[in-house]
Amino acid sequence: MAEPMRGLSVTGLCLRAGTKSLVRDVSFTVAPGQVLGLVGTSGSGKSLTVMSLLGLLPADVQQTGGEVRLDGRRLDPANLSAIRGRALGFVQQAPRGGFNPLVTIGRHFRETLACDGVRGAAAEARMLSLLAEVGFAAPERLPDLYPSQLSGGMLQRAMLALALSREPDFLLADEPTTDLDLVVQQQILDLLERLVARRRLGLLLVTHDLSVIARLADHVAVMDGGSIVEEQPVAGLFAEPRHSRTQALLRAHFALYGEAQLP
Amino acid sequence: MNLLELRGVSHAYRQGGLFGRRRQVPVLEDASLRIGAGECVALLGPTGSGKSTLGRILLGLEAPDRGEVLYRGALLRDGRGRMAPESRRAIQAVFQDPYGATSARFSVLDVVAETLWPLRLPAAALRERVAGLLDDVGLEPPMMDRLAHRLSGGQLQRVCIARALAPGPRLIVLDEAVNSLDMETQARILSLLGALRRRSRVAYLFITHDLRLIRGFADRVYVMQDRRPIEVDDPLGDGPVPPVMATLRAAILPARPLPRGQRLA
Repeated sequence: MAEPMRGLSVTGLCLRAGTKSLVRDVSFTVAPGQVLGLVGTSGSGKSLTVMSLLGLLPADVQQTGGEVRLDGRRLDPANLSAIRGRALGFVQQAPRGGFNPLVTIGRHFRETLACDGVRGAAAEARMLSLLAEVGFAAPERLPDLYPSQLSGGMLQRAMLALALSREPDFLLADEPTTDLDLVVQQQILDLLERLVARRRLGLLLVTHDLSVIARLADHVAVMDGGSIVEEQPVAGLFAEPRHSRTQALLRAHFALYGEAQLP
Repeated sequence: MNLLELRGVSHAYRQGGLFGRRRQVPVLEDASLRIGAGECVALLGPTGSGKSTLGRILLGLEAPDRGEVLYRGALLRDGRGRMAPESRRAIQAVFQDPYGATSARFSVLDVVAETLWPLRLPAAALRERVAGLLDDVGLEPPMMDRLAHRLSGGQLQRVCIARALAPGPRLIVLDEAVNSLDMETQARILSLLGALRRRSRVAYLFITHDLRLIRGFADRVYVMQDRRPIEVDDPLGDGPVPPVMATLRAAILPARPLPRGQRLA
């Protein structure tokens, strides 16, 4: 695949724990304003791939190959912590785990914004506009609340607002709606779609749920056993899945809609 | 006679309200529901609609503020809040998060054996019993000596199902029991639950927010509307449904991608 200059691209990523290979030769590109879906069952290596992009791999996992480029510029793994948050926003599955329960929502924002030197009244204004952007009708009520006082859906929106507060060009979302009910899931996916369009965000959407992929992804990579086994535009993947793993995932998906028998 | 029945149950929680004031938050109001022997009853509703509270009351984990819970026509809990050991064994549960529902220090054997304690089986007989249960839920019996938390989510959820099946229950409350699993695992666990019900005539209360899961699985369907379950004859059909059901239906994502441009609502 020709490497476009604009975008977040991963080439030949290999991860292992001791002698066990976890991710093998994974390559993909997330383009600005586009949604790349990374789909696969539990344990297929999706989340580890995301963690390696952020330089957040568990201590026992080593990267043995591959490079990450941001708009053509190679990212040094040692500098990832400087890029994390700034160029790459991150939203994870269980929003409650991403907040410090002892600290108000407002302080989460003030600390994050201070990384870029935004403080005082400017920080307050910025925080309220971010909270409004993710759909809080009365954002001024949020800053004094503690995470335990918010529902899962509210926390996930607050998490998105935090991830956007440093104006990242790319957002990595790992199962962002898996713990939420379907009604809240729909609101979060609508919101992600608007953010991608409005901010020209490049979104890497990691999920096991093909209905989330159908709703939001432009392009899809299917992972199985640590490798990408198929990559296609979303319409092609649903109409003509090529790999047997993709076909099996689609069978389980369509069974939920009464279009196929349960395996 | 119904296996389990909820009659006019009301329940409230005390909450430090979102913006400071302490207040009573009603969760269930005049809620009634019945489950027949061997029946699979689905209970639908969004987060916070009271469906898990209803499940906890059915399990006898909580006493309702008002109303009664009857097991085979008799009160589930006596005047002092105690449950007869027999009904305690007869009503089991499987919850959403299998890791939260099991001890990190337990082996698979310990987890499944929890509900077999009162039988005081000798060690060899216990292992044999657990092996049979693991086989029933599609797991390899040698797995019983592994630490429970070393298993994948789908495997551990099967262990939790084996634990629920162990005392030969008449009813299993499945509270979002497949929702945290990936889709293929969801499908496999659902078909396993269906097969186990056909084999053992156990009844299920299947609590979920995902309307897609009840197709071909539930015999009857309730939806939580205004703090009480309302029975819906044909939740996926063309007839009128309660507003909450309509909302849940509208939240189902498309099965296939729509062309770009049509997607932004």
